[in-house]
Amino acid sequence: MAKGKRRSPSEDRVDVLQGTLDLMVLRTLASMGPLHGYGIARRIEQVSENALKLNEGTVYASLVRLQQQRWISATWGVSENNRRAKFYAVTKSGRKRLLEETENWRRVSGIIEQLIRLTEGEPSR
Amino acid sequence: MRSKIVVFLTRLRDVFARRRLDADLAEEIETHLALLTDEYVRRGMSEPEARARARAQFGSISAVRDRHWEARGFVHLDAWSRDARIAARMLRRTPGFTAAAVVALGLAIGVSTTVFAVVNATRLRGLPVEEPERIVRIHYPRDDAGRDSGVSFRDFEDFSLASGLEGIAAFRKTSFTLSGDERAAEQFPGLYISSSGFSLLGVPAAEGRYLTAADDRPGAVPVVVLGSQVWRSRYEGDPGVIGRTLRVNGVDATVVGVMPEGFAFDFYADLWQPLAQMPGLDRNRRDARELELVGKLGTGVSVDQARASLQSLANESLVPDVKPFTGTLTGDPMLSFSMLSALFVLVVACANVSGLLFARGFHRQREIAFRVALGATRWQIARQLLIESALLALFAGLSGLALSALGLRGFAAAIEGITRPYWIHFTMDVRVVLYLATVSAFSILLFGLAPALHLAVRKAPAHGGIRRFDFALTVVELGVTLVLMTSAGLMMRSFLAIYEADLAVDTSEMTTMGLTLPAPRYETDEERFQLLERLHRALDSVDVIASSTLSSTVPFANAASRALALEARPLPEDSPPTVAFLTVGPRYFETLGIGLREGRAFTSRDGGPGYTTAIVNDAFVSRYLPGGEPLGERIRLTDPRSGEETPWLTLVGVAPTLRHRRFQPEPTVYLPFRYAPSGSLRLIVRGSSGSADAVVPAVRREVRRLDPELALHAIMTGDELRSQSRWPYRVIGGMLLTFAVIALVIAAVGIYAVTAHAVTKRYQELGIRRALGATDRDLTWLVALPVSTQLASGLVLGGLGTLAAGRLLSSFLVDTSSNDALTFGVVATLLAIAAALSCAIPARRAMRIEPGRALRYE
Repeated sequence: MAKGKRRSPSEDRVDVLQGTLDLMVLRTLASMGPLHGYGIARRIEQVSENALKLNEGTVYASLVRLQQQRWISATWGVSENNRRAKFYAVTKSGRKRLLEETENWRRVSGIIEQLIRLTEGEPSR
Repeated sequence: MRSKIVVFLTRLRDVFARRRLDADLAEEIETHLALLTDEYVRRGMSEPEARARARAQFGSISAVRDRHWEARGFVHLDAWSRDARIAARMLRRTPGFTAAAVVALGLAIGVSTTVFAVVNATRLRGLPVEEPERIVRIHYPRDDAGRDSGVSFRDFEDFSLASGLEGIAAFRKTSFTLSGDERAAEQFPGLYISSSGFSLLGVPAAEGRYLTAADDRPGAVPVVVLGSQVWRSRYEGDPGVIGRTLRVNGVDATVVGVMPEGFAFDFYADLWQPLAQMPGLDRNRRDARELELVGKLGTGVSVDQARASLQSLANESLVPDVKPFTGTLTGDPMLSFSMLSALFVLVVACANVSGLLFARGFHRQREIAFRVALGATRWQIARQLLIESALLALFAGLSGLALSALGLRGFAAAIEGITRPYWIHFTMDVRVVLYLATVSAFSILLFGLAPALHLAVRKAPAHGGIRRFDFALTVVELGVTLVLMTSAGLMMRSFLAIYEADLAVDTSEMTTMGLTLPAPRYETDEERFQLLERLHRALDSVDVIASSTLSSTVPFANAASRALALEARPLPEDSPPTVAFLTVGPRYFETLGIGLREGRAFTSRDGGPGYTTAIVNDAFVSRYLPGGEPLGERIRLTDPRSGEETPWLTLVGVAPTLRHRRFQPEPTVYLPFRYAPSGSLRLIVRGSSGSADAVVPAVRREVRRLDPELALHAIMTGDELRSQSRWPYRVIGGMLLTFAVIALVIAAVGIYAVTAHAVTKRYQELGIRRALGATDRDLTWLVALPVSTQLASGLVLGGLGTLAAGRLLSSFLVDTSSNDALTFGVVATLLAIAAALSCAIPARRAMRIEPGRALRYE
């Protein structure tokens, strides 16, 4: 989902992580409805039960990428502490994408699951 | 795919909305941090602690900004535009340097573009027709006078079968006298042309039609096509002229069409008649080579292929050649030399700017070291320096464009009165602009690359390296400037030599006129001679005319050339020397205001039976008959084209050396006009003092009285003729002089800048030396030493360069050798003086250095 230029192995990893983060953000917005950046970061923290420790600023890069692809849209609103904040909401094409990606993810993890079970269940010779 | 486009467009839009987007993001981040801080405060932290914690949890804000922008906009474009802005700021901060560089480069680019525009107009652009590159000229190799040899009608027929050509036409230049329509007879240049010519060129007639094959048959009704000049001036642009009958050279012809404005094929023709109408057209003899050929290459056929297919059809020892129609023109070596000179000026300017950039680069060592320490790569540093150079080149290019537009206009004005082919227009077109862009881009590489690479690549500034390169640059500058100045000097000397030689002819009160005796009415030599005799006597009786004469060509203009044979001494048979040759009437020398050195002038009997005589000039005598009595010697002339020989001619007089061709005065032979009275001649008339205006009408009157069908043309005063014939020296000499001055100024400014910079660099050192007891002279010498060495090397280099350039030069120098020591000496002195003056100011500064201040100088 993310674009990259000259790629080194570490950059590849970053991209995978970026892609995963983008997916998580999209998912969050789809299930929680419109949120601002802070809200999304909180939610992700909550859902992952604090297992995921990321710098919260990285959410904003995700948001830009998702916006570019027109999978989310943004409007200015007022936050809980009466400050101006951008609220993001998922779009129709965003929901479609989410479905595809989720499907994909399930399929891939299913295959990996299989592989793991296979190698684990192998009797040692 | 669509999403890719959408993303691209979004990025594009983001570039423009940068500031707003930055502000938005800043606000979002603030809000986020505030919320986070509030949360921590709620959990019990103090305000500052909470804020710090929130900050830490958020992560690096600048990283977020960078990530944000990676997704938006074009990262690379950012870098370039940033560099461009920095470069612009740098240039603004050093206005002196920027101005010097832009002016030097702008002048050089402008100069070289102007010359290219001239070359473009004369050689590259071609005829104003569709696909001009397919129009070619077909001819036999040049004769000794440098003129292309014509073809015969039989050749024309043969070549029409060539496979490589889509079309071919034969033509011959001539003069047409129009009469028979209530206006006075007037003469116009024109062509006899085969009917295929018009369709080959593909320019449709503006009114009526052009010639067809039916018109071009022997015995067809005579027709004529008018050019737009004639149509407007003589017939007021009346379309009713079509179908009317005019008398052309005494023969009735019907007007069938008018060609559009701007068409005057082949040079400045105003009228066209079918080739079949040409009197004396010999359709059979192969050695009657009086036609010119123009052809159109078949689609996809190259010049070489066409040449090969023609050569297979030729059946004689002469081998036809094919070349682009506008491929060559007179003034060739001069044009090439101008182009070379212009490029030299460019080299000087680039060397100059390169030196300046180097000098400035030295001051930026620290800045660059910082950038390297902060992580900039070599490429990034080099890129920024290159962008600076590119910006300079951009400004220089724009000024150069303006300059060359002006220069071109000036050039066109300078040669305003010179007759030239109709297809030459001195205007800027796409090709010229492209050339300018290329030259500007190329000059960036020339002057920008070296300093940029040098600064970017060197870890520690290698003083030796810089100094050597600097040194070399200045030497090159000086050497090239020397070559330019010497060339200009030599041209000036040639001009003066010609000027002096021309003074022999007294052109005051002198007028020349062209007269053509058209063939059907003046068929034989005797008929022509009789008319001219009568004219001569009639003019003699006119009050306002002091004396009159005629000749085949006027002085200063193109005389013919003939191969020479001497009775007294055998000359090499296979490559006999050639001499200039013209036929003149009696009183020729008297009318020109020249006294003969020996012997007598022609009388009206010379050239008749029993009087096979000739007159030669001083140059002839000193070359071929030195030390002895030339009168009574016999010579014979042969036309190298037709092989015609004169009988043995007895020399009866020796004239001073006059200039009869463009450049060198040379050995010349004058024959009596009666010997070969041509139908196309020049009248030269000297009016009695104060009667200049009355002369031409008087001559016209007498001519018309003898034959109302005759007309005068090409009326010019002697002064006009003389200055016109010198135009290459005037115009191109002027150009070279300008180039030389520009180069000198640029070089001088360059030396000044570099020397001043050197003094600044060695401020401390010089101060210390002063403190240790150095005298004024010591310090001056220290400053001047490098310049002196550079000057010396530059003189050597320039000397070699002049020797090399000499070959191109010598073809148009007059009375001057290209290795002329005097000119070189004068020029070298001028250059030395300029160099000395340039480093005088920095030297004075050096002398005034106070040791105390110098030591504290940072």
